[in-house]
Amino acid sequence: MTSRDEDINSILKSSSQINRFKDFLKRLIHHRKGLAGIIIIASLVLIAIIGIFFAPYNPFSTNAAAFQPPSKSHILGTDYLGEDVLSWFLIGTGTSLMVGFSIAVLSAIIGVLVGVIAGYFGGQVDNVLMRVVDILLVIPGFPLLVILSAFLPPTLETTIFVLSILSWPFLSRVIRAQTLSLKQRQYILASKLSGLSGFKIISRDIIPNLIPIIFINAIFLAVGGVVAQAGLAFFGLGDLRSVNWGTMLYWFEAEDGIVFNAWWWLLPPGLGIVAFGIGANFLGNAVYELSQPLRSGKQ
Amino acid sequence: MTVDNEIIMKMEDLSKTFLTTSGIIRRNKRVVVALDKVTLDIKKAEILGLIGESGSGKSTLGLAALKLLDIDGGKLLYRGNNIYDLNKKDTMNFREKTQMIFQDPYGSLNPVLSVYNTISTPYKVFHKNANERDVIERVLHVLEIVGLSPSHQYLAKFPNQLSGGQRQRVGIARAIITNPEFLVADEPVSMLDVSLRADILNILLNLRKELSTSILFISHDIAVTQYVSDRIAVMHLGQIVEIAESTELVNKPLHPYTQTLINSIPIPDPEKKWDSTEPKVLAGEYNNEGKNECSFARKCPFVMDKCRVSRPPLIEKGKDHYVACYLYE
Amino acid sequence: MSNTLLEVKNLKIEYRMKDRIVRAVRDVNLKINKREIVGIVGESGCGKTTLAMSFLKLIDPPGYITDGKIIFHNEGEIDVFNLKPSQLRKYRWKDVSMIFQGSMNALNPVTKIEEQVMDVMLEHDYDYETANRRVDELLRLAGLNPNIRKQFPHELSGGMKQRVNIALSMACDAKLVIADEATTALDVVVQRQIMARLLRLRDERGISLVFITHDISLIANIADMVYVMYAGKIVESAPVKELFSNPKHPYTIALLNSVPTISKEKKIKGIPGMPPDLAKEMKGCPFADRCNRVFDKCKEEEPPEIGIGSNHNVSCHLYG
Repeated sequence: MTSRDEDINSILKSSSQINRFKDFLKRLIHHRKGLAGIIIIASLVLIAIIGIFFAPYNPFSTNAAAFQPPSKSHILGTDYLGEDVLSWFLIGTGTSLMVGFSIAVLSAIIGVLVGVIAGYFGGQVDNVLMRVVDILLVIPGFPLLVILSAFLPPTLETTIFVLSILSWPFLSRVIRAQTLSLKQRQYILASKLSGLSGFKIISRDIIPNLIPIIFINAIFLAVGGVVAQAGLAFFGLGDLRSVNWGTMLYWFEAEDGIVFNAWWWLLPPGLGIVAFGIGANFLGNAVYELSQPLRSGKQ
Repeated sequence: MTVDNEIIMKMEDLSKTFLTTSGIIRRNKRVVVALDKVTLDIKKAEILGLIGESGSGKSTLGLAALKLLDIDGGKLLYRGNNIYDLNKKDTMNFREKTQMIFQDPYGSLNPVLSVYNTISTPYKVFHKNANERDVIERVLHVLEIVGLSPSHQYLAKFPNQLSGGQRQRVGIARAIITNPEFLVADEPVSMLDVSLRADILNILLNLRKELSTSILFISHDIAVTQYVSDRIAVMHLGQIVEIAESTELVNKPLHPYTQTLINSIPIPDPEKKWDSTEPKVLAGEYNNEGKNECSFARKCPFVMDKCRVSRPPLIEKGKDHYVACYLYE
Repeated sequence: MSNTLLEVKNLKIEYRMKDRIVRAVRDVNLKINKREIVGIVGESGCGKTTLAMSFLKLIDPPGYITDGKIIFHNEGEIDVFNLKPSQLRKYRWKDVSMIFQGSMNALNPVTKIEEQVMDVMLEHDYDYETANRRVDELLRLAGLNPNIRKQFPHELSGGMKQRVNIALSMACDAKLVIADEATTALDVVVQRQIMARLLRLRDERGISLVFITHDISLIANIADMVYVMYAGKIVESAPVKELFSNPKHPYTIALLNSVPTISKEKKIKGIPGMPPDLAKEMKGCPFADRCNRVFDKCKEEEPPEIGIGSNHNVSCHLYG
């Protein structure tokens, strides 16, 4: 290999997608809101990981006295059964985040597939898919959840499944609109002239240009999912044997934590939800700002 | 000018109609005749300019020439075969030999693909088993042709790192990598700064000279078109009204519409200052519904009764100079 | 009585962005006389639109006027940048008006034409009756049938919308109209018609016109005095015949050589490189790295404005 070949190889490597992604991460870290968002979410993930390996107690062990304020042996105090709140919070964070991300991923996959196919191919395909979307959008979410909870096994999987079914239609409409707009770009026409097939064009020209919008929507779906699941749990729906932010709030309410002024029991899950919302918001905004098209030398 | 007389593309009575809705609540349905029985030949190694104002149908003709839309009538013969009758395999062969240069340097390149990926794609599609080294060599070669030098430094660049002029060159490089016979250039310089246009135009002239490529050069800028074209065809409301060798057309326009166009072009000569007399074009609605009349009848200062009831055919009025006007019968 | 209508002196305008400062206008001087058509020619990124906006003091943060003044002569001298808000309201549109770039979209799509034309006048203290009467007159002035006053913008063609914009610019009898790329999006015949109409306004109403464009051929056909703008500065200025027969600045010469013309057969050549980034500090002449006659001094020192006779000025060391 001549040195020119080596030059070319290194140049081509530097243009690969991984390097582009690393580049983007660097820019994100230098963005103030982006950095804040990453730190917040990373912290929550860290808490979840700690929960898996280092929770001080089994959350269901009731060896301590009930409603104890924070102390050396129980850093976040105890709940109505003498269970360790810190352990609940560490493990609960993991569960809640898992629920949020699962809903985001599931909704994103379905939403993007439906949106892109409807937008790119148009015609009858578009009509049929959008009618399905419209029907799902019309169904009121909360009553549906309540009804379904009566019929389906009250597990976390059910909650994730139902919330995803309710979330993907909105995403598909957003993606479809973006696809319709991207379809008009001249580089799509250029790809058609190059002989690329429809699916190749979708995967190469359309989806990569949708990634910022997919990510931003997915983040907000994750937050929405976490809040929805917590809300459901708070109302006693879903899996009440699970350990998560929502069930913590449920038990706090059901067992009159407020009467006992047990702020150490209320604050962690509440703050967890708020922190996740803020972190996601910051991160989403940062990605949005950084993904605005860059144009050279306009007046 | 010696140009090979072989005709590579023959358009016969091409017609295309669009149905549009307009108005705030989309109540008005209109029939727009974009192509009204267009007949035109393109020769090998020739740059044919196509000029006309907005709504003349010139962009539609460009798309039709590359089989990028369905037509409602007529034939388009490429090397003797009607491209609208080709099967899938032959269409792919057609695509390999024909390409397009686009107007918008900002929209014609996929922002997530490197220059190398953008340019190499057409080649890889038509040469599925190509060796990566060969592909790289070809990409470097076309980069040199379009003046992006040193070429290997451009391989890894992304569109947002390039200027408008550079992006346009990348677009041309992509269009020529499969060694096409025929290119459609749709307003390739209108979105570029004035001082950058000359280089692009000179690249096109070079393509014709070195690679014998035929180019259909579509533009609303007549001075630019005249510089680069061998012959020019003038389009008005879906009809070809005049065709002539480019200098001849600009100096001796025959059709009243062409004359109006030529007289309105700014000329960088202060001795030819404009006064406040508006060009003599009758007021009146344009007809775009394919009625049987001359497309310019409602606005022509020389209109006669005949012009309103039948469409004048293209007749030869001088060497290689065709005009569709009853004034010359 | 002097013939000067408006003077721009040492104008400097910059945009303060989050991470950089873009100096769009760097020390611009120009003079507009009564009944004169001044052409300002420049390509994208030269600062011409910022300059245009400054005539009406339309520079808002993050844009800041950091130096210079604009003096409008109307029964005395008016220092535009120091006008009180009430005086500024009178100055805008009554003394100086504008036809904007992208005028297709400057009209309100849900309001009838007559309302929009009347609104301008009502805002400038015309009474309702007078304003109503003037609508017809203004539309005719722009070459339109007054019947269109009852129509909406989307019912008009591009050329007609532009004529409405001309009518709007004359609504308060302005003495100076700034046209920023006013014919760029129009077909060539419509452009010719619009220009004829503007020339007629100058002949009949005695207005002055500042015509800003990238099309140097158009400038030759309509302007009396030409200013060539590059990287925020005026690099050459001269009466139109002098500029075209005797261009001095290498940029002007290169620009003229890059434009095809139907009247002469010639080979055209582009200008290599790109205009400089207005956010970066510049040393020496801004055209230095693209100039085919550059020498050492050009990279060190910014060239001063040099007069070379008959109202012809150049900023270039070749003539110093």
